Amino acid sequence: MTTAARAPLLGCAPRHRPEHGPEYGPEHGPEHGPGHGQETAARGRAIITAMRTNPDADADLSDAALLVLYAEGDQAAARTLTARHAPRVFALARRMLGETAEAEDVTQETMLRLWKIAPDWEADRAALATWLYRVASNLCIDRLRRRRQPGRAPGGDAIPEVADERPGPEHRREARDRAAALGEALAALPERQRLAVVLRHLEERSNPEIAAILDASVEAVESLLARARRDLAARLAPRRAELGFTDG
Amino acid sequence: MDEDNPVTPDRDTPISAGTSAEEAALAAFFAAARAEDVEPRTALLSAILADAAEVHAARATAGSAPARPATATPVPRRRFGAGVLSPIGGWGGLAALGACAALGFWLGLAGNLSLDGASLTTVAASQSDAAETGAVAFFDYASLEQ
Repeated sequence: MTTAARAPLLGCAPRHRPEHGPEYGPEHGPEHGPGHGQETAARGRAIITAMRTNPDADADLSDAALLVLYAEGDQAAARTLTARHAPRVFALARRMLGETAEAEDVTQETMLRLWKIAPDWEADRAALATWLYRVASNLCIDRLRRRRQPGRAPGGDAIPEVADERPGPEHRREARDRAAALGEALAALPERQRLAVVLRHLEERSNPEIAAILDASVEAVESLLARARRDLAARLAPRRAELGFTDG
Repeated sequence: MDEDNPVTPDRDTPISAGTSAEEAALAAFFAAARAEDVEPRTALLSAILADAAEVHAARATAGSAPARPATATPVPRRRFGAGVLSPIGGWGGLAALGACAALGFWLGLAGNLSLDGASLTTVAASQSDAAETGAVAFFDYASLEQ
């Protein structure tokens, strides 16, 4: 079955990766040209948009209703659930892990767990998005902890050097550098602090929802966030001038 | 001590202290990170949907498995002794052979046959036939007795 066929979670290629190449987005490294990356990313966005706006899709149905439909064999319901949740899960994993291939593994594994529990999903359970974030968060933390084992090289995609000739390349480069600097500072935080910051400030989830994802109290989440922001600000302060801040 | 343990907040510094200033300092970094393109690849979405189809197919197969023995034709089990008894016609043949042997044994022990001439003639004819047919003679005696 699927689980047995899947590649190990760390250090091995996921099942879908052999098809990669032309479909990798611009964040996958300098080996793909900027034009090509933009084109494929745009194609991915178009597919997601089509999935989201397909009139035949069950766009108005709740997650619980879609899970019931999927459990009964409705693959359209699976498409709607994938379009609705997989991009969020991927974004969280990508920002937590800083590496696309691993983020894809986590996303696929998270969604696989969803398919498996679909027949047993209870409508009055926690929100599906919260459940998915929790599963993905735990998978990410597991991977981050394994990375810290001796002998393991830290992950992270190379930041592509995009020669953008369109108006405002300086502004875009500056934004990219700031995002990269934040990513480096985030990577230095303890896992739960990093997770709290990503969920709050990048995924823009509420503190109560983050508390549910982390299985902690709201006060504990506020504490995590406060310490994480203090740490981030301290790490980024020396770099403000080089990143275009006039106050640095 | 686990630095990020949420149940042990940093007691030296109030949670709210400096938060707004730090948030303001980090706002541009967060905005830049949010603006990054982190859309999943098409191949990933395809793999996820393939998993969905595969899981459902596996579940459907597993769900129909218990019903299969009831609907399938049962495999006939070979009964004990069937191979040994098949040359003599199975259990029925064995029962008939045993009954005939018991009857012949009983007739031999009793030795008090009182038959009329016609019957004896028939018996004599049957006995001459018995010399040729062997065990068939038991059947003839049996029919005469009854």
